[in-house]
Amino acid sequence: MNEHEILLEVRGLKVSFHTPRGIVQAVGDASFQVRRGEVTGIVGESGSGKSVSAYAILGLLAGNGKAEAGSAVFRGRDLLPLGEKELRRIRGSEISMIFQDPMTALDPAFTIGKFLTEVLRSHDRTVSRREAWRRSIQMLTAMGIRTPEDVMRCYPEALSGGMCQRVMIAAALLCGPQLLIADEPTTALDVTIQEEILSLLLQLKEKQGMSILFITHDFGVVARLCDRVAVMYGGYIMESGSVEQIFHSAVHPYTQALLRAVPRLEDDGDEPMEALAGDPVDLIHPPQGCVFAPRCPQCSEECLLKRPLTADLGDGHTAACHFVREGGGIHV
Amino acid sequence: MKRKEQAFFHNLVAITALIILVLIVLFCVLYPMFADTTYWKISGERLQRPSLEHPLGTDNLGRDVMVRMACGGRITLSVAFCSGLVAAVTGTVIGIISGYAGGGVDSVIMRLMDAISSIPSLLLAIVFDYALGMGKGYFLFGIAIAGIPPFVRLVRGGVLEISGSAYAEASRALGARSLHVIKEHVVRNILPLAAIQTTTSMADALTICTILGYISVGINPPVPEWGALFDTGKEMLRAFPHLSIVPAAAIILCIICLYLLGNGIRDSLSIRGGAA
Repeated sequence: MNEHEILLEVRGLKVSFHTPRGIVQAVGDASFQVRRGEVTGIVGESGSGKSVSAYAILGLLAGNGKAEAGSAVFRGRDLLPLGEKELRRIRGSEISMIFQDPMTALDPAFTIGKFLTEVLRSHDRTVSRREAWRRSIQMLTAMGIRTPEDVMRCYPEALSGGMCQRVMIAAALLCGPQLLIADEPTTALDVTIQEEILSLLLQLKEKQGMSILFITHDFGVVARLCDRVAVMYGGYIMESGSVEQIFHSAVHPYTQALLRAVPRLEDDGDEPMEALAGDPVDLIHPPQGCVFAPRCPQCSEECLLKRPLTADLGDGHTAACHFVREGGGIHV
Repeated sequence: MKRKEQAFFHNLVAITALIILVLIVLFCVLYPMFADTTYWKISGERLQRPSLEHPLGTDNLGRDVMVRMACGGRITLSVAFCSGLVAAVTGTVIGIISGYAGGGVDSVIMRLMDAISSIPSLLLAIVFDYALGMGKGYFLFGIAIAGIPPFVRLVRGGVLEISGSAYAEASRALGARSLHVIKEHVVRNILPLAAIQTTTSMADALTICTILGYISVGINPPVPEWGALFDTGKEMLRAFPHLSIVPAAAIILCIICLYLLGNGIRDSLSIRGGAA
């Protein structure tokens, strides 16, 4: 098994939603990849299309949404044209997903035990109830739950948010998927619990070589967990590269602005935090040029008229900006 | 599961209501079998006061009131239970179809339900009785149909809420079939709502059935029915108040017990006290 084999490669993904007010282009053009044993982060603000991209990969878009172009090749197979039946077989067993709010992701009417054994048995009817129960307990233990038997008999209401998220991760990993999509799994949790969940995910990655596609708006989390990052804005990938490349040599004005907006402990707190002026992109009428142009401090005439191409800066670092030139070097 | 049963048994009021209902049903079923007279037989002097031989006295034709109450209860209660159940089952199925199918099917079903609920249930029952043959019990279908729309609305709302919920989405993301999602999550979460609605519609059906009896529709004399018994009694309200008070009390007691039972079931089935 190749260490850095590409597990999931998304290319030119375009997702639109048909609404009464018009066609919302949630994702305009997104390309990113997840390699085996690595964590790829997608960072962006609300409405940047990061979650929608993940939903599109698994065919979980709402009825009015459609992946209109592009491909999402997972282990040599494009997932986008697959039908519901084939996708269902992939969901949970090959690609799993965990969600933002673990408290609402569990049905209050079922015990954890019933939920976990059902997840297992919905993929493999030959697993006996006893066997499913045993494997669920094993998985909960692996998730760092000390009293798995008690938890199995609990209803979700009796568990804390952190516990619920552990249960969700256990459910997601129960059928041994190769890729875990985590859609802001720590956003709804306390900071201390966030840290616990993050170290659990990190442990999964390091000990079991789990590949994770991590969707977040938190650069701190990215720095802690990810190997590679894609920065998304208005449905387009602005810049992508390794964590070092993005944190230390970001070239895209949006990435730079985002990094400047992260508060630091060293700041004395007297200066106001830097915020990005302007409003998020209108996804029904996206700008003709670069989606970031109206808010970009470096915006030129070219930016307003022409959508920038993605430039390869070498070593897997890419950026979509008119000021960035192929092979590195910033053109001013 | 254990916890829920406990919750139910801790609910003393609901348990009492259930016991009272069971006792009333047992009385209605068993008493006529062991009594030495029947509802149509003239068994003594007219208008006797309660005695050992006739625990509730006799009516204006000399028939035993106790036996007539029991036989009347058989009719009234079975109409109430049956039409309530028919409404519950049909309404739940239609509601699930409507909520799950959505779009045009949903619109047509919901407008149809609006149309049905715009007809007074009493009128619907009378029409069924007159149209399909009087005295054959067809009015039961009228009562049942009138009970369907609230079920459909309730269940459809639940289906929409649950199929759009985070946990339905999560279970789809983990590879569950959408039909499985409906089966497991929707049915389980709607159960408390449907339970309380079932007892409510049984209580409604009981009311309509007794009103029909009171205005002499649906069931023909000499077959007794609680509403009809009340009607006979009211003419002698001053001299023989027990003739109308007993059926009225039975009707009220059953309705109250049905509501309390529904509340109890809801409390013991509902989760997080959420479903109202």
